[in-house]
Amino acid sequence: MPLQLENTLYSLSPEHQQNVTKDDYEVIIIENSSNNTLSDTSIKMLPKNFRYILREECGVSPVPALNQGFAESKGETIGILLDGARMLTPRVIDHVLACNRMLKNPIVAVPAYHIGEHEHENYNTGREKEEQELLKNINWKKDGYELFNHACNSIANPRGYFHPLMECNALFCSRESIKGINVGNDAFNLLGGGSYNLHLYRSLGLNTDQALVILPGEGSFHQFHGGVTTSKNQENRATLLTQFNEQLNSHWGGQYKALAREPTLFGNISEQAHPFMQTACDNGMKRFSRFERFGETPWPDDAGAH
Amino acid sequence: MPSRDTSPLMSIVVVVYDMKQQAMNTLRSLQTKYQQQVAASDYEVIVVENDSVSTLNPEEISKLSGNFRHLLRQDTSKTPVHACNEALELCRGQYIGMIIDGACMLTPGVLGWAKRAYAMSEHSLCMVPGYHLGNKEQQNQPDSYSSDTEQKWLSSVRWQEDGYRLFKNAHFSPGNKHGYFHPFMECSCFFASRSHFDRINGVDERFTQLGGGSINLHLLRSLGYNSDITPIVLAGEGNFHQVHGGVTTTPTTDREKRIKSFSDELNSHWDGQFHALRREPIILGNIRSQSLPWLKHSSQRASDRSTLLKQKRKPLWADDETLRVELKP
Repeated sequence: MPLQLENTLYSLSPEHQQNVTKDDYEVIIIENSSNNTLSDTSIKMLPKNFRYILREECGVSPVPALNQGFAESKGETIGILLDGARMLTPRVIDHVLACNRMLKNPIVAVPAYHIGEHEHENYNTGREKEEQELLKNINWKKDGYELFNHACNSIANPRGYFHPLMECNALFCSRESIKGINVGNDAFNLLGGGSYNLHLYRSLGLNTDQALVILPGEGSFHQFHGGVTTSKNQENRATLLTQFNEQLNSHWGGQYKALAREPTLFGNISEQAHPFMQTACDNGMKRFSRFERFGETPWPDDAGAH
Repeated sequence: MPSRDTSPLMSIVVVVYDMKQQAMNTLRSLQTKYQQQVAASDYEVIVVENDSVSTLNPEEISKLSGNFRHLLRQDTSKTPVHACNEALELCRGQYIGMIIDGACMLTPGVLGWAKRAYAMSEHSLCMVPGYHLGNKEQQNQPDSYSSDTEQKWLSSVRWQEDGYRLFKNAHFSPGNKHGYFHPFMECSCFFASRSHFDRINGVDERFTQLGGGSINLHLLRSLGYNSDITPIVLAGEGNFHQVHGGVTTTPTTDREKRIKSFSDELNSHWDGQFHALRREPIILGNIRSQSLPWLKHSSQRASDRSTLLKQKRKPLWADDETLRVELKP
C-alpha cells in the first residue's frame, strides 16, 4: 500500500502534526516485504525522526512485525497503527502527550473513520484510484481536519464514541501496559492478523487503573487499499470473518465484547468534526436512555475502577 | 485545616454576600465527600463573606468535609473586588479557583478535572460552563419562580447524592448562552495559576459598581488573553446559579440601566469594545447521560457559528489569530 502509506506517513510528520517537534516522538515503519513496498525515494525523504525497516515475513499476519516495532521503539508511550493505511489528524500527537502529563498511563484512543460516504467493504477495487484522486483535490495537507468532510464512521464504531468502540486503529498507551499483555499475541496468525486489533484494544483497555481517553476532535482515516476486511471483492470475505471471530471469541471465554468503559473526552473540536460529535451525541442519548430504563450501567467494564 | 507546611495544590475562593442558603449549597458542593477524584489535602476553600443581615453559620461550615476557611468581613463598598483580593492573599495553593458569585453550585467532577488540567499544564485556564437552575435564564423567570421554589426542587432531587441531576432542570447562563464551543463572555467558576493572577495584579479594584459590575467578564478576559494560556472547558461539568436576588439575575426595573452602566465601564477598559474570549477551547472530562444533551446543543451551535462566520469571512477564533501575530518576531 505505498500510496496510502505515504499519506499516513505525511500525516505523522512534524510538518503536519501541530505543537510538537521531531524531538518529541519517533515513527517506526515496519513493512513486510511484498511486490509493492515503499519506494527508495520516499524512504530517503522521510523526516529525521522516522525509521523504516523492511522485513521478510513468511506468515500472513502483522503481529510479528508489531513485536519487532515494539522492540525497536524507545518511547515511554507507544502508539500503534496496525494498518498503515490510516491517516491521522494534526493534533493527535500533541493531545496524546498532554494526556500523559495529565493522567497516569492513560489509554488514548483516536476514533476511526473511512474516507468516502460509505464504509470501505462496500467498494470494489476501482475505489482506490478514485479515492487517491479525491485526497489530492481536498488539500488535506493544508488542513488535516478536512478529512472529516469526506468521511463516514468506521464499521468499528458506527454509532460514535458514546458507544463502546469495537476496535481502535490509532491507539496509544504506556510501554508498561504493552509489556503487561505480552505485546503482540502470535496466536493471531490469520490473514492480516485476523481480529488481533480488537483483541489488543480490549486487552489494554480492561485495566481500570488506567483512564480511557478518547480524542473526539481527532480521527484516524482509513484509505481504501484492498484490505482483508475492508474490500467488497475480497475472496471468501464472509468465511474469513467467521474464522476471525471464532479465533477472537476463543480468547475471550467464547464471547468477545467491545470495551464498555466510560471515556474521558479530550481535545479541541474543529468545525469539521462537529457533525460527527452531534451524531455521536444523538446515538449516545438513545443508548443511555435504554440502559437507564433497565437500570443498568452503560459502562459495565468500569466495574472495579478506582 | 492542613498543617502549615503542607500547602494544598488548589485554593478555591468563594465570595458571598447576603445569600446564606444558596452559598451553603455551594459549599456543600465543594465538600470532599461530594467532589470525586480529589482528596481533602488537594484543596482548600476560602470563603470570604461581606457582612449582611443573612450570613453563613460558621458552625455549619465547620461540619463540612474538607478544608474550609470562613472570613466574615466588614465592607460597605457594594463590590466583591476587595473581598476577592483579600482571599487571594490568603490562598496557599498554586492553582486558584474563583467563584465570585457564591450562589453557583458545582457538579462533582469539577475539582478532580481542574487538578488534572493543572497537571497537564500550569498555564491551563480551566472554565466550568455556567447554567441557571430552572427552565430559563433567571432574570426572565415569572414572579411565581422564587428562591423557595428552587430550593424545594433542590431538596426533592437529592442533588448531593448525584450532582449531575442539576442538569435536569437548567438553562445555559447568559455568560455562555450558546454553549461552550462559543466564546465565553464570562465564567462563574474558573481556575488559573497563582502566577497568572499575580501577572494581572489580582482582581481589578477599579470595578466599584454594585456587585462589581462586569468584573467577572474583565477578569476572565484579562487572564485568558495571553498566548501562554491554554483555555480548557470542563464540558461534562457545570456551575449552577441559584436565585438569590443577584444584581443581574433579578428582573428589577432598573436592571437594563445598570447593565448599560456595567458595559460602559467594561468597554472603557478594553479600548471601547470588550469581546468575549475568542480562543479555541480544549474540552476535558467525562460526559454523563444528564450532560450529553448540553454537549449536543453546544456542538450544534458551534456548527451554526462556523457557517455564519464563514459567510462573513471572519475567523472562528479571532483572539488566537491576534495572539499568534503578536508573537511573531
